[in-house]
This record gives sequence, structure tokens and C-alpha cells, in this order.
Amino acid sequence: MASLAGRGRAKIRAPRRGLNGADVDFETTWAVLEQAFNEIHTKNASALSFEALYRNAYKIVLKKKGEELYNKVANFEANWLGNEVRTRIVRQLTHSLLTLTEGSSPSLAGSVERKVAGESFLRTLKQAWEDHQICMGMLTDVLMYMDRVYCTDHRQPSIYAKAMGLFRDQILRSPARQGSPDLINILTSVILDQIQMGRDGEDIDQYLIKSNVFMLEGLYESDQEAEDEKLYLQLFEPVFLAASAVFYRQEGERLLKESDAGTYCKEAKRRIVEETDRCRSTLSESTTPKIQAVVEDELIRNKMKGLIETESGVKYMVDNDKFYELGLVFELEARVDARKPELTKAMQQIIVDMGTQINDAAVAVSQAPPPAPLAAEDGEQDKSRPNATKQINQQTVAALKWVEDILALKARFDNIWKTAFASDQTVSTALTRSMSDVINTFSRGSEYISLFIDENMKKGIKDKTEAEIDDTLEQAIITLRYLQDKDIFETYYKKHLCKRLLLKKSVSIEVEKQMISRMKIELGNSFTLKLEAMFKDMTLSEELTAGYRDYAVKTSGADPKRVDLTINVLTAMTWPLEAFRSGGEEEREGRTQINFPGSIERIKTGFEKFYSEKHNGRKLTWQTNMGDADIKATFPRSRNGRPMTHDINCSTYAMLILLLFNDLPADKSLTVEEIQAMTNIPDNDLKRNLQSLAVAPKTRFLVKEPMSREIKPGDKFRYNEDFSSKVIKIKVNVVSAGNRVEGDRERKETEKKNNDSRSFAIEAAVVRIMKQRKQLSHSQLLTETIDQLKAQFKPDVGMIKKRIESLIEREYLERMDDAPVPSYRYLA
Amino acid sequence: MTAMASTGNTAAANSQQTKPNDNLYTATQDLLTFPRYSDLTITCGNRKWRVHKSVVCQRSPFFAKACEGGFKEGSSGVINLAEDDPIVVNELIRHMYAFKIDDQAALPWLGSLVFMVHVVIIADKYDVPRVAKLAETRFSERANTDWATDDFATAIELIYGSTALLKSELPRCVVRVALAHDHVVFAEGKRNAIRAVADRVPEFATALASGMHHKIALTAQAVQGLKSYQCKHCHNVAFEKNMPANLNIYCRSCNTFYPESGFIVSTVLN
Repeated sequence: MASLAGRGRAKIRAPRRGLNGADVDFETTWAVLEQAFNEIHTKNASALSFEALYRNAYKIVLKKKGEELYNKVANFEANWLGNEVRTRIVRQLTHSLLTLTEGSSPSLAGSVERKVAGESFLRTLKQAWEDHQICMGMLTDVLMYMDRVYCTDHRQPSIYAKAMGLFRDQILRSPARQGSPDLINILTSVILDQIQMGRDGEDIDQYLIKSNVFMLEGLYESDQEAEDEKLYLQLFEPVFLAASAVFYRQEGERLLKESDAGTYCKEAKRRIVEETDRCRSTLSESTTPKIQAVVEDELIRNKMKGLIETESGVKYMVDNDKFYELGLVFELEARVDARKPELTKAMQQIIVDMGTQINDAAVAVSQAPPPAPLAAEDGEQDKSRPNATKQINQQTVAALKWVEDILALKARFDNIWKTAFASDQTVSTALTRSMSDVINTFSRGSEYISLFIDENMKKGIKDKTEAEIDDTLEQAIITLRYLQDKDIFETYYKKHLCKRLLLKKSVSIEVEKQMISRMKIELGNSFTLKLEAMFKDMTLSEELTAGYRDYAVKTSGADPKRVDLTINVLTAMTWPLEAFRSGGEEEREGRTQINFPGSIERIKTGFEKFYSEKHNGRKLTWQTNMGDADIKATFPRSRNGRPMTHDINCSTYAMLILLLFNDLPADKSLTVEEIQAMTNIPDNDLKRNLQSLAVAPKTRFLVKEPMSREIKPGDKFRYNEDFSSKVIKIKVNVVSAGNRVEGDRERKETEKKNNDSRSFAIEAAVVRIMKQRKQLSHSQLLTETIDQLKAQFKPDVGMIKKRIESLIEREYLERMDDAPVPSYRYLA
Repeated sequence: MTAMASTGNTAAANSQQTKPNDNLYTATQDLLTFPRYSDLTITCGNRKWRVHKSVVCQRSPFFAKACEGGFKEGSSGVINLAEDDPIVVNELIRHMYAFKIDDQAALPWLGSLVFMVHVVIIADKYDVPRVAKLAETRFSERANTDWATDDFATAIELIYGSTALLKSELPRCVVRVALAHDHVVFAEGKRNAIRAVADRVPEFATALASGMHHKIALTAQAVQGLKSYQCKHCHNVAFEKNMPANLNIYCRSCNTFYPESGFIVSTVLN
């Protein structure tokens, strides 16, 4: 067959039957191949002819002896691996390596020996594996025709895959010695041992381990070579993960015992990074997520709670501004749970604790003084005054301090949130909730916030730049944002605003209006409606005052003696006028008709006439207790024995009292009862005004008999001819103008009033909802009501129930008897 | 025989004329006659080809592995194909460079059909399926006209003698051609080359008989207006009524359902 053509034969030769292989003797041909395979395995292939080997294998297959060839090759490999290679590997096994698999934690002693022995074992195995791959590569090339024809037709794994399986069975899955564990178990233990050394800080030959891992990744449980049947996944990885879990469990416990939380976090983070690196450099990247999960479980998930609660935990970090450590805690817990439950819980607790401290401190400051004024009430005169003002100051100070502390608390945790918690949304929500809890558990929160604004409006913003003012307003709004009972706040704010406006205490009306517009943005239109009405009244009043002045000139000509009138006409519903009343007098005061002297009475009726011309059908009620008057008064010996005229500013009541003495001879006196009868001033107001006119040292225009602090029935008053003062302008203080924290009684009243208005709001909401829905279940009605009202306050469920009850009584609603769940029907 | 030769020549002449000399195709072709950059030598018998690894290794894994592996050929740069026929090897290499084969290259020593069979064998040996395919096509074309020659008879014997060809198209091709002329082949009393081969090669005889049976059956069924479905998996033939194309068809001998594409469907006319 050397040449079919070219010999010049003219006739075509009839070819022999069974061309290509009939003349092939299997045994001889195989002998040739076997000889060559031996050469290949001993790295001596360079003299072999590829063509000759290929041809021999080709001929065997053509002769239909593919199966025999396949089995011969497999046997050859099995023998080679089982004898030559395995002996070489087993020779590397020292006693210490063999005992590794027994599971006892390896002793430190002999670790150097073990490391060297382990490395040499790994190196031999790696070498064997690489040799095997190279040899089998060459064999596969030679046996290409067999693979293509025999293996494909007979559904056999390629000879390469078969040989890899042989490596697994002959080397890895066979016991090193009689009765000892399989080599793969030893290999696993050796790798784990080396990794453990690496974890303990020793330098290990990562490349060597990686090569062996490569081998395990390249081998499969069966010859089908399914992806999930890799030996690495089946045999090595689970053991590795289990061993790592044990290690990190102990490591975590040790760390918790030995170091503080900050160090623990750093260590945990380092370990995670280290294990990730190890997967890349030493093991397989596919293990990265699994080992991370193990470390996270052992070092974080199972330890986080303990870690956060230790002495050096989150509380300590917050107290000492350990932002980096806090950041670590956050980062670590974020790894295991996106909601960060332990950290947020701890942070919330800290906020609540700190907030409670602030609240307690505020209560302490505001409650400390009470013994003093009580004592002063009955005590000596000189001391009572300063004490009283001091009390007011302290209350205000408490309010200011509380607001500032709350703001500082918020700023502090905002800062932590930004620097340490990566501005995380979940944490933010939790922190906000805690802040809100802190502010809302404090019963005086609404009042204090209003006071804070009040104080700033009156004094705080003086000499401040616009930016600073903006900042102050913003701070107030921030606290307001957390407040649930906005209706209570509104009550207080109205009261404080009312005083500021009427007594002209506001530094800047502009700023007041800014505040209102901020509130409008924050709390909505309806909230500021009444407040805005107050400003409107003020503007209208200015116009009225000017209008009346022109009117008076027009009707009765310019009369220098006429009393000048400045008037504020206030819409009764919008202004909380009770703020000016001293308690217990409301009922009477409404009906009391004050007696005005002629000149004043003329002005009063004049204005009433003017007003009714402009606005028909409106009734004016004079709030005499809130007015003040400027009077010119001459005292004969005021300036070093010579007469002097003073400008006195005093309350309307004081003016009425003083005017009585205008018409009275200097030596005559009037009793309390006479004054009362002539002016009709309510008892309480009368007493206080008399006190300031006859007792207060700087404004003692009247002489009282007997000389004592208390005004008692029968006391007599006369004009003080000997009054002397160096200043021209004198202000008579009657009612303390300062806003102060309410007394307990006042608070109860405010609360009661508040509850009443809440009742109305609830009823209104319920009726609104029912009118629209006609029928509704109880629980739905509750939710909708709460939903509607939450912008104003957080309604109490009990209160809602009572209101519903009351509405049923008044036949707005009725219970539906036939409904499956408790429901109501609206009665039109 | 003469007529065949002349047609072949014209085809060769035509193909040469239509190829201009300055494109990639001819450039590749020229490489073989211009061996300056050759980096591999193939020897066979007394012939020698200076070839290029980039060409031959890409076409045949055998050459690739011979050059890559750690064997003698890798370092020597010479591959000796000890037991092949140079004239066949030449055809293999010609196709690697020119994408064509010449079925008359072996004349007059080897008939075209026998020659093509040898080309198919060598293409299978060195795993160059494109050459095998082309040679099979050539064989099939030529067998249609040359069925009455000794060349055809020798080719049949050769085909059935080589285990490498049993899976190729060739055995089916020769049976088809022989049956197409059954009236001549099996004519009473007349000896002919194909009959002689059938006498010597029992596998061929069996194939002929089976084909004959099939043919008769086809004719019979065609009368009844049925279609024949030959299973591509077991080559069993069944006759069915025209089946909807989207329905899987049951093959009795495989005991399996296949889509229609799994069958060779033929409509037989009367």
C-alpha cells in the first residue's frame, strides 16, 4: 500500500479486501504504543514520531479494536498512577501530616516541621498532577482518532476525562497506607493546616495551595464531569467552611474577651478582607461569598448584639465621638442585615436615654425654684420681688436650655449619621423616630418650643445677622417637625404671639412674619390661618387709630386737651385674650362695667360711634385690663423740693385710680372700698394696681395707711405730695409682661381647653368622614380619623371612642346591628 | 472513458480561466508553489511538500498536534506520512491551499472513483471533513455516469473493505446508483462487474437486497397514495398517510417519536 500509483502499471490493481488494518496485529501494535507511552511518562518523548503513533492507534481503531485499545490505555494509566506516582506521593507523608486528619487541633510544637512537610507534600502532588495533565495531553493527541471514532460512537468519556478520573481514583481516593484515610482527606487537612498557619500570621506558599485547588477544581466526582460535581465543591469546600466556622467562632469569643469593641470591629473587617484575598490568591474565587458568609455569621451576626452592648460598645463610642469605630460597626452589621437592627436599636436607646436626661434636667430646672416663691409669698417684702423674677427667668432658661439641648442632641446624631453611618436611610428613620419619641414624651415640649421662639423674638434675634436669624428660625422648625401635638403648640404660640404683638415686645415684625410663613410650609395653611389673622388685626387697628384721629379732628376740631387714643380691635375668636386675665375672674369680668371719668368716656363713645359708622352691627367689648395709658403728672417736690412733671406710663386701671386723686384735695384719702365703688375695677386688679401705685418704691404716687405690703379692706390712700424721682419717664409695672412657664393650675386649664378643642376636631372629622362614606366599620373609621387629624395632633383612641359614643347619643350616627364587624351608619 | 476524461478536462480548464491572479484565493493557492516562507515539510514516499503550519494546522488537527506536541515532528519540522499514498496526500494538501480537488489526478493509474474513495479515507484519517465531503460529492456525481465501469466495481469493493467509510455517504451512494440501474445489473444471464462485486462482498449484496425490497415496497405504497418516511436514526422505512408537518411521527423500530425533520420523506409517483 506504499504506493497505489506511480509504478506505471496500466491496469488498475484490484485492492485487497480489508484495506487499512487487515494486516494489523493488535498485540504488536499495542506493544509499540505502550513502549511509547512509557517514554512519554518518563518525559522522554522527543524522539518519538507522532505520525507513527497516531498511525498505529488509527489502525487499531480501524480494525475495530477501539475498545481494547481504550481499556489498554486506561489500564496502563491506572498502573502508572497507582504504582509509580502514588508511591512518590506517599513517600512525602510524615507522621505529623497523617495525624492531621484525626481532627485534634494541631499542636504548636512541630509546626515548622509540619509546615515544611506539608509544603513538600503539596509540591509533590502538584507536580504529579501537572505531569499527569501533560502526559495525558500528549496521549490524547496520539489517540485523537480513537476519541473521535470509538469514544463518540460508544458514548465513552474521552480518554483524557477517563485518565483524570483515574487520577482521582488511583491517587486522591486511595488510602495513603493500609487503614489510613484517603489522600484527598490528607490533602484537605494539609491545606487547612496551612491556611490556619496563614491566619495565624505565617507566610504560606499561596501558589502551591492554589495549584492543588486547581487540581481539585479540575476533577469531578464522576466521569460525566457535571459542574457541581467538582471535587473542590464536593470534598474540600464544605470541610474548609466548617473548619473556618469553628475557628472564627473561637476567634470571635477570644476577641470579645480580650479587646474593646472598636478593635473587634477592625479585626473583623480585617478578617473579612483577608478571607476574600485568600480566596483570590490561595483558594477559588467561587468560595468568596461562602467564606464571607461564614465570617459574617461567626464574627458579626452571632456577636453583634454582645458587641454593641459591651462596655466599650456603641454607647461608649457615641460618648467619646468614636466615629470611625461607629462606622465600622455600621459597616459590619450592614453586611449581615440591611436593616441593621442591633445598631439602630442601640442608637435609639442611646438617644432616648440622652433625651430623657435632657427632659429630666429641664423638669429639674423648672421645679427647683418653687419653694422660694412660696416662702416669699408670706415672707419679707424685699426678697419676694427678685425671687419672683428669678423664677420666671429660670423657667424661661429651662425652656431655652431644653430646646437648645434637644437641637444639640439632634445635631450630634445627625453628625454621627453622616460621618459614621454613610447617611443610611434606615438608620435615619430610626433616629428620627427616637428623636420624636424624646420630644413627645416631654409633656412641656410644645410650650417650651413656643417659649424658645418667644424668647428669640423678644431678645434673641437682636443684633443678629439675617443668616443667624434664619438659622434660629430653622432650628425652631426642626424641633417643631418632631412634635406630634401641634394643636397644643398652636395654643401656646398664639398666646405668646398675642402678648408680643399687643405689648409690642417683638424685635421685628418682619421676622415674626417669616416664622409664620415657615410654619405655613411646614405645618400647612390651616395651622397658620389664625396666626395670620392676628397680624391682620394689628394692621387694621393701626389704620383705625389713624382714621379715628382724623375723624376726631374733623368732628370736634383740634383739641389739645383731648385724650389721644391708640386702639387695637381684636377679633374675639382669634386672640387668646385669657392670657392676660388672672385666673378665676373670667365670669365676672365679662359683665363688669368699668366707670370711666368723663374725658375718657367721651373718647370711648366717640370711637364706638366712629367704628359703628364704618362697620355696622359689630359689637365692641373693651378689654380695659389690657390697655395702658401715658399720663403727665406734676408732683410739687419731686426735683429736690421743686415741682416737676413726669411722664407716667401705667395700666388703664392705674390711670383710673390716679385720676380719682386729681379731683381730691391733697389731704383727703380714699379707702379701697371707695375706690372700688367709684371705678368698678375688679378686686384682684384693683389690689395689684394699688400695690404698684402705693407700695412699689419707685412708683409710690399714693400713700397708703397703714403702711404694709398687703392691700386689705379699709386701707386708706392719699396723694403723695412728697414723691420725688430723678427720671422724667416712669413706668409703672403692674402685670408682669414676661411670658413664663405656666403654673400647674394654668397648665391644667390649657390642657382642659385643649382637650375640648380636640374633642371638637375629632367630632368634626368623624362627621366629615361618615357624611362621605355613609357606612364604615369601626376600625376603618378609627384609622381614617387618625389619618385626618395627624397633621394637628395624635388623637387618643379612647377619646375618639367617646366622641363616637357622644355622636351616637346625639343621633348623628347609629350602630349597624346586622354588620359582620362593628360598624356605624351616618344619619342624615 | 474518453468522453469522461474530456468533460473533466473542460471543467478544469474553465475553473482556471475564471480565477484572476490577484486575489486572496489565488494568493493562497500560490503559496504552495512558492515555498519561501514554508515552515513545515510533509514527506510521503518519494514526494515532498513545503507547506505552512498556519495553513495545514488550521485545516487538520492531526498536523496541529504533530507540530505542537513534544514529539519528534515538533522539533524537526518534518512530518513523514509513512503509509499513505503520495498522490492522495497531494490531493489533501491541494485542497488545503486551493479548496478544490482534482478527481482525475491519479489517471491513468487509478480511476477517478477509486481515487475519490482514497481521498475520503485520508480525509477521515487526518480529520479534514471538508475534503471528505467534497470527495464524496465528486464520487456521487461521477458514479451516476460511470456506474458501468470496472472503476465503480473496484470502488464498491474498496468502500465495503474499509471500516472508516461505513459511516460515510459512500455505501449508500453505491447502492443507490446500482439500484438505479437494476434492470441492467440484474439482467438475466449477463455477468457484469457490479454483480461480481456483490458475489464477493456479502455486505454489499445485503444492502442491495434491502434496497431492492425498499424500492418494491415504495412502488407498492405509492400506488395507495402514501408517503414513505425513512427514519434518519435507524434508517427503517415506514409508509404513512401524509402526516401534518407539526406532528411528531412515531418510528416503530426506534420506538420513539421524532419531528418530521427526523425522517427522509419522499412521495413516490406511480
